[in-house]
Order: sequence, then C-alpha cells, then structure tokens
Amino acid sequence: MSEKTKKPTLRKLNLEWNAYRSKWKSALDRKLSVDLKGDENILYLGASTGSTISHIRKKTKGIIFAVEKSPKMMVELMKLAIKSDNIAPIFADARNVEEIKKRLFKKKIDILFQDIPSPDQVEMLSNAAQLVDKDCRIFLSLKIISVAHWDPETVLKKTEEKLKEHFKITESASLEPFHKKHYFYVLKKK
Amino acid sequence: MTETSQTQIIQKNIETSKEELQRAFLKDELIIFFTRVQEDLQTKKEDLFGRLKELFSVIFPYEEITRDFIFEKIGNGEFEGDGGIKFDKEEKAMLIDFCNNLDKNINFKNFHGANAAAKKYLIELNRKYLPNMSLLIEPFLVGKLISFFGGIDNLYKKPASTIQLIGAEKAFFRFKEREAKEGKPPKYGLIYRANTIQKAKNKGKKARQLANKLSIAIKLDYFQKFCR
Ligand SMILES: C[S@@+](CC[C@H](N)C(=O)[O-])C[C@H]1O[C@@H](n2cnc3c(N)ncnc32)[C@H](O)[C@@H]1O
Repeated sequence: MSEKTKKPTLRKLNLEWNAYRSKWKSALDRKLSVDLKGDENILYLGASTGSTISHIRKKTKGIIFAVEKSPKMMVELMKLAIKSDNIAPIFADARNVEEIKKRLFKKKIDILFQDIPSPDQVEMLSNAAQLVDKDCRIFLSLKIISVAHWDPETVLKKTEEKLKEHFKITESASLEPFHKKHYFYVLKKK
Repeated sequence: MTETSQTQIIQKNIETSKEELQRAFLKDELIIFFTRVQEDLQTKKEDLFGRLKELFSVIFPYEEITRDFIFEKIGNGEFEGDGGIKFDKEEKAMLIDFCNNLDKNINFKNFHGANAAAKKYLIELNRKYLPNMSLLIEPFLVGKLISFFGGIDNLYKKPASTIQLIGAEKAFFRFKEREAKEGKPPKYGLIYRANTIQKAKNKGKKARQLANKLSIAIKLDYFQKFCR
C-alpha cells in the first residue's frame, strides 16, 4: 500500500471519536472514570449538534436525553435523533429544570453530564442535580475563561469551593492539551 | 414492555422538540436574508446558493439542501416544509418574486431586478416586524445589526454601548494596542452610517443618543413582534 492510500481521509477523521473535538473523549484519555457500562440513561446538558453524542450513543442501550437551547444546533441534533434509536432531544434551556423533568418521564438517570461554558456553570449543574439520585455519576466540563477572567488557579479554587457545597469531587483533571483552559470533574451528590 | 416505553419516551421528545423548534424560527431570518443578499449584490457575487441554503435550512430543516432541491422548490413556488418556519402569503410572494431573478444554477441572472426586489422587501419587512427600529435608522442598517448578531433574539439583550460600537471592533483593538501612546476610543461602529449621524455636527454625541434609542426600540420590537 502506498503512503498516499494509507493516509486517513478527512471523512474518516470526522467519524473517529476525537479527543480534540470532544471533552468526554479527552476525559477518557485522561484516565478519568467516565466510561460506560452499557445500559445507562444519560442526561446530557449542552448537546450542541450531537457530535459527542453520536459516539456515546453507541456505548449504551439506555436513553440519552440531550438538552440544547440554540435552534441552529438543535436542528442538527434532531436529525441525529431521528435516525438513531436512543436519543431523546430536549429543546430547552438547561436552567429550566421543570421542563426537563417533564421530558424525562420519570426515567432514572445514571449519568448527568454538563458542557455549557457560562459564569453560572456550577449553579446550573447543581440545579439539574435535583433530577438525579445520589448514586448518579455526574460529570462537569468546565471552561475556565467562561467562568471568570481571573487567573485560572483562582477560578478553579472558587469553583471547587462552590462545587463542594453540593457535591463530592471524586476525580478531576485538566483537559490540556486537547482543550485549552478546560477542567473536568467527576462528582457525586452529597 | 420497557422496550416500547423507551421508544415512546424518545418519540414524544422528538415530537415535542420538533414543534417547539418550528416556533423558534423567527421571521428575522427573512430580514437577514434580504440584507445579506444586498451585500452580495454590492460585491457582485453571482452565486446565491450559500445564501439560499441558509434560508432554506429553516424552511426545510429536515431536508438535504442541494442546488437541485432549491431549484425545484423555487420552480414550484414552494416555500413551506415539514417542521420549518411558516411564512404568510405575502412573504411567500416576496420570495417567489425575488427568485425570478435567479437561473437554474442559483446564480443571479438579473442583478438589477434582484437588487430592486431585495430593497423593496427589506423595507416592507422592516415596517411589518421592526416598526420602532425603522423609525430610527435605514432598513439596510437595521438588517445589518440583526444579521451581525445572527438574530434579533441575540440583539435585543445588548446594552446601548454595544450597539453603538458594534462593527468597530477593528478600530477598537487598534486603539487598545496604542492606548498608552495616542488615540481616542472609537465612538461609533455600524450605526455611524446612519443618516442622522452623517448629518450631525457632534457625531460622537449623536451616536450615543442613537444607540440609546435603538436599544429601547429593539426591545419593543422584539417583545411586540417576535416574542413566543
Ligand atoms: C461547548 S458546546 C457543547 C459541545 C458538545 N458537548 C459536544 O461535545 O459535542 C455548548 C453548547 O451548549 C449550548 N448552550 C449554551 N447555553 C445553554 C443553556 N443555557 N441551555 C442549554 N444549552 C446551552 C450551546 O448552544 C452549545 O451548543
């Protein structure tokens, strides 16, 4: 086989689950315990066009409840949901816990994941945590510069103080070099 | 048993989201379209496929938009699709008329006709959906402001200071770089092109006043005409 034919095509690259494009994948590469057993129901906040979900969905037989508030992103997510069989798209603000609750139809959530860069990331997560039980695994992808423009250490320190009011931090890691100024937390409800 | 209920949960969520999404597509899409078309015409861009694709993706959100698809829909005068934005008769007629200026490759065949139509319909749409903003600045600038933020639901939240400076980012960063040495901060961005500012003696002051009025007008228009 010549050098040329061995090179992966662009299409191929897009199909692979890439740590540079997915925070979940980079957390996995960082050896955080974010892998799936195969039957989890997942509440995924900040689903965007579903590029991570398109990989996650193959790893579970459960439902992925995918919350996204931007119409343009949601259209793409809807298309993915229509051709899949385990994505439940929820067009809503992740802060709207009441609406999300209705859309879960009492399903027990095993993993809560949030990837929404915003100054109120932690508050959003602790509100959403009302929807899950104590044994739920909770993952947070934190974008440091979206929380505040202080130096990263201070942001992390303050964030962790706030997190500890509601959660136990079981693991954490920086997502560099895959995602600049991103930090990942694995949490449990207190 | 569990299998069906899982399927039902997914189906219900897909249906509900589809309905809600349909309602979330706002008519400012049409305003953005006719604004950007005018910019294309100014730069003598011939190919309108990309532009029409943006618009068609909210009319036919679940279809794959190709040149052939667009050409077929234009030919049928069909501007309504499953789960897509709902235009009224008037708006559909605007699109039909405008698209008469395109050939089957979705290129302009009649620049002059296209420009005249885009101008006319932008004015009409502004009157209909942005009556307060339209009193303050020209239709094209209204469209530019909305298109800059990718939609009125992003624009209406912005403070007057942002509205005053938007479009002046380059000038602003240039100023930042030289801050210590010389220069004044930029006083106006996009809205500088407005007639009222061009006529004013003290353009900085006028720009500030205009931005204040605009920020109120935008909120009024949004809540009166767009809010779901
Ligand atoms: C960083 S992207 C998520 C990328 C995605 N997790 C992936 O890996 O494919 C953040 C997304 O959150 C959405 N978003 C922002 N604020 C939101 C909110 N309040 N509620 C729900 N979604 C929100 C944005 O529209 C954006 O699509």
